[in-house]
Amino acid sequence: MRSVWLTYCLIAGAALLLGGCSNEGCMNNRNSIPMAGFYRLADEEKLSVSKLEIYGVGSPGDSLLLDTARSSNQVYLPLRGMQPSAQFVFKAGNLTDTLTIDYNSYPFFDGEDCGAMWRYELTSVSYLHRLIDSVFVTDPLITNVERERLMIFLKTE
Amino acid sequence: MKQLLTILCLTLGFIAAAQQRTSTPVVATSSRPTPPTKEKKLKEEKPKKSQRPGSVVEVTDDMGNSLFLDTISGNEWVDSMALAQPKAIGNIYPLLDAVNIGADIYPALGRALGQHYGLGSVWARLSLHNRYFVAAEFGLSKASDRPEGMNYSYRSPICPFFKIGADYNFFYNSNPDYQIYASVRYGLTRVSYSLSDVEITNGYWNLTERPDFPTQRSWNGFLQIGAGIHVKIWGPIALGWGVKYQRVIHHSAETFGAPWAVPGMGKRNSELGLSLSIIYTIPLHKPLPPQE
Repeated sequence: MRSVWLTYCLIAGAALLLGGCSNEGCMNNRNSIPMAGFYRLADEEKLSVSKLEIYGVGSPGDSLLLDTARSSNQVYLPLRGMQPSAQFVFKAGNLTDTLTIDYNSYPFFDGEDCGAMWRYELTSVSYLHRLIDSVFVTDPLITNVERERLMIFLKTE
Repeated sequence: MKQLLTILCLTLGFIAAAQQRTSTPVVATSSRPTPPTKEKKLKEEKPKKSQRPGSVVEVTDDMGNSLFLDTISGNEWVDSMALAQPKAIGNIYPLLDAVNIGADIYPALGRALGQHYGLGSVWARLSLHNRYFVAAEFGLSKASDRPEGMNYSYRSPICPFFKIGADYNFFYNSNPDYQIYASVRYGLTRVSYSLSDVEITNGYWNLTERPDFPTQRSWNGFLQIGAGIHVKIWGPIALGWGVKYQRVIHHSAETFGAPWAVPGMGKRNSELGLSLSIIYTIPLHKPLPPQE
């Protein structure tokens, strides 16, 4: 009898200790934003750019997503859930290119901790071939998992 | 993974506890028939080697039977230790032993304490030899929440769930009023859920968008593996507490996202489940007569 109650108490204690155990917290981002990486066309190696400005067409004050003050080999290109496309200007010195991303969007619930967000399915990507040589879409489904979805091959000369 | 290891450790602990059956009490005032205590003692004693005195020799009588004779007293010597060897015994309770009917009040208790999901369930177990149990459960659950600092309100109306499974009682030859058991359950539910008051802010574009979330319905199948305790409280009434590791193992398409609470399981991302049941036991046989 005593051993039964002892085991009972042990289980109750363990249950209380573990009661709060779950995969709490949002392990991913709380928004779905496509991440683009820069690559050199010649050898397909990752490229760190330092003289490139990027901003979204129609963004408030043309606020920069990437400026010349810092070098980076990646950039986030935020989309708008209720619009079918977004355009981004790439500017390096006198050269300017425009990247247009077309997509379908739908609302998505990613659990108690991550909440509600948009998800996007890219339908097409186009550009003017002035700075950008080519763009490779690694995964057209844009989720809140932090992963590079676009490989942008730049003309480095 | 950590939860899985914990459950595994608990289960191993139960097995270790079950192997120490000598410390398990047999309560004389049990509401259920209890086995003869003599037979138990025989089972619990370890075999001992026969120690034949030096004065005893083995002889053959006129009928050809082999027997031992004490050369000092002239009497036949009987190996009392050999007689005390334990007999192999299996299940001492009948196949159709009892039916347990229970109500899981843990979800209702949790809801009363501020939890945002769950209602309750009723279940039944058929005891086979007080060792194996087949179980079935039916319950209802609902969920609603507006988490602080989040951008949605979640609502799931009352949805039913069903579970089937089995238990194994480690104390199968002991008093059935006290059980420690391992359990496995498969649960199935069709959950309906919707989101409202959704606001998605986009800092770069300086936008706040309010999309409409369609109501979704999805089938969720889940597995629960755990352990539990059954303790008599009064007469045929007992209390049961279970702890289980749980996971959704299959679900239908959830285009706009999965439900965060699964009826019968609780939070979908929680690998630990608990239950607290009030149990009524119906014996299925007459009390066993004591055996010599």
